[in-house]
Amino acid sequence: MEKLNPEIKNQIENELLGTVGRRYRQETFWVIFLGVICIGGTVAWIIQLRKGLGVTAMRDYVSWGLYISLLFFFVGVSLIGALVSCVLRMSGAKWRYPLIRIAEAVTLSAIFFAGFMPVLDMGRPERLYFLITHGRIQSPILWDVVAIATYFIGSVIYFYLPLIPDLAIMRDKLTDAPMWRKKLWRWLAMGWEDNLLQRRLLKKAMLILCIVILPVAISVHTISAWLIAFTLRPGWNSTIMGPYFVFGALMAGTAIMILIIAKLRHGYRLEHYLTPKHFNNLAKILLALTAFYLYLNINKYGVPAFKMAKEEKAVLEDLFYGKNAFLFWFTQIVGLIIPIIILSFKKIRQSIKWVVAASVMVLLGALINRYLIVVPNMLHPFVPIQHAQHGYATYNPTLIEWTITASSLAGFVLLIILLFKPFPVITMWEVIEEVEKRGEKEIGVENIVNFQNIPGHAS
Amino acid sequence: MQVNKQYIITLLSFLLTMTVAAQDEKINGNIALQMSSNDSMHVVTATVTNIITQLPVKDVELTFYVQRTFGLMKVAEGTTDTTGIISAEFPLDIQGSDSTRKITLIAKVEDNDVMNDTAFQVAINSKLIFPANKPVPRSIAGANAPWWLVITFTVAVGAVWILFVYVLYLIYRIRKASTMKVISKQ
Repeated sequence: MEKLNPEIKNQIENELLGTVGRRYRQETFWVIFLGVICIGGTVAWIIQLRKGLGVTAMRDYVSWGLYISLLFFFVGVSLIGALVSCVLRMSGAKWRYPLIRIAEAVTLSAIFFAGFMPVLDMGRPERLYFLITHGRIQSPILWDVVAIATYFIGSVIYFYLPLIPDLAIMRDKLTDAPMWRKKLWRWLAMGWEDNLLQRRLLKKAMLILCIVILPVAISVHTISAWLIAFTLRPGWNSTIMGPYFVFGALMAGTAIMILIIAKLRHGYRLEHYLTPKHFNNLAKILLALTAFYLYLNINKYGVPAFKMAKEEKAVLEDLFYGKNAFLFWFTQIVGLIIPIIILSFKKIRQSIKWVVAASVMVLLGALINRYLIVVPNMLHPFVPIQHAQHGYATYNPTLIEWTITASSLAGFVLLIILLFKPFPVITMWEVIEEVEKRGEKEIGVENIVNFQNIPGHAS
Repeated sequence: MQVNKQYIITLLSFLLTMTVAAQDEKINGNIALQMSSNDSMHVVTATVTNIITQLPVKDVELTFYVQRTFGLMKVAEGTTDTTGIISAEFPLDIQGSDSTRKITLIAKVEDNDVMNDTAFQVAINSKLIFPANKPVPRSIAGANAPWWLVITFTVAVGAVWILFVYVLYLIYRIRKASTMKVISKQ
């Protein structure tokens, strides 16, 4: 493939730079809406800090409620960065390039809030310091904190690395930006001038990080699974937990990725960069992951249900036809089976609306499933807790918990929105480079080299 | 008949007043503890007296505890006789609380009708040799992790962080590879 015409290259850069600092449709409403929820959650957290965990419904039986369920959800979603940046890279999928920054932003936001959830679950968060000074290296809780911190730092670096050439483009092109921004871009661009040595060093750094971040990402999810699998409780006492969490994470991450690229595509008018090909390919991945997750579910619940051992019976009955039956069957049918059916049809897969609908179902199922992994199992320990007060054997989250949980989810989305304020949504230099090398079709973009077809909203 | 009724009411009122007064006027007591031993048991003799009148107090329930590291271990209980004395026994093979071999015995009066709550203690030396502080072997459930776990954890986490630092060094080299400063000076 020949080098792109400088004018077309210039046009692509201008078009993608047009997303920097630009408000997309309904953005103000969403920022205010999510911001208000976050403020509500902060107030609720202050109340919880002042009055103690007694304001939550967590007691002797259920000591991990919504907060830890959401920790597992965020940890799961954060795996999407590793999937797009590493797995797809190693598999040679060229269509990943327009998705890399979005995936890394989702990862960054998710792992940030994943790190925050255990702090919310602590009655005395300042004691987190003692985990560092007096932590037991045998404890999976210590491993989890270390793994999340490591993954967060790795994700920050991975978010930054492909940004360096783009920051240089911003430094050189957005000359009418405020002085502080220009100074910041100049500093962050690391004197990038696209020379051969710099390119070689950048690619080397990205390759190293790609290889390192994958085991780190898998370890975060596996250790989170071990947090519960190392605890002797019915439902948790299973060797399948590690892969169950990892594949559940990949599935939830892919679903949320589809939703976010759909929103960004529409909001920023990136229709020819985030094309039906991306949705179709992500839908295929989602189909495979959902089908495999259903298979894991059959193993996780079906095998103990076949034996119906005395210790497991209470949990399984609670899930199959007890208090949590509606949620359980919702996750299995709406969260897995229906999306599998929908995504199995090629024609439906090519419709963005249907792919988004299936992703919403999968994501909702994944979110509820985290709750079902945590709470019902805690309510049915092997040995009942002695002298537990009346009402301790049930769990109905309080308004404080719901508010903090909602604000964490709102904060997660808000942080993604804010991450795209100062930076372009699409990695410009990689897309240009790959279009030059392989052509539009393989990258999955459409009509960007056709100057006439580019809707102009460049800055 | 009317007189008798008035008399009974007056008598009942008097008794009730006396009872309430008696409830309000619990005495403060003194407990003298004396330790001895026989072939197999420690013997503790407690003499309970009124702290003001110095007279023995009967029917006082006493509980005897031995101080342990994280609390009190109950070893005996009983009630004082008419001479205000109670004797109790507890095994000789109770260890001292630390390497000084000291056994602290505490006699407590708790929720008694006659006497206010109080506690007195006496210390004696145990004849048993305090066990040497053997180091607990490293294990998953122990205070210290097994070496294989410490090494695995440190190597795994350390390797990742070293690579992160190396990536940051590569970023530094990207900056060094720039000629931009030179150009701007020209």
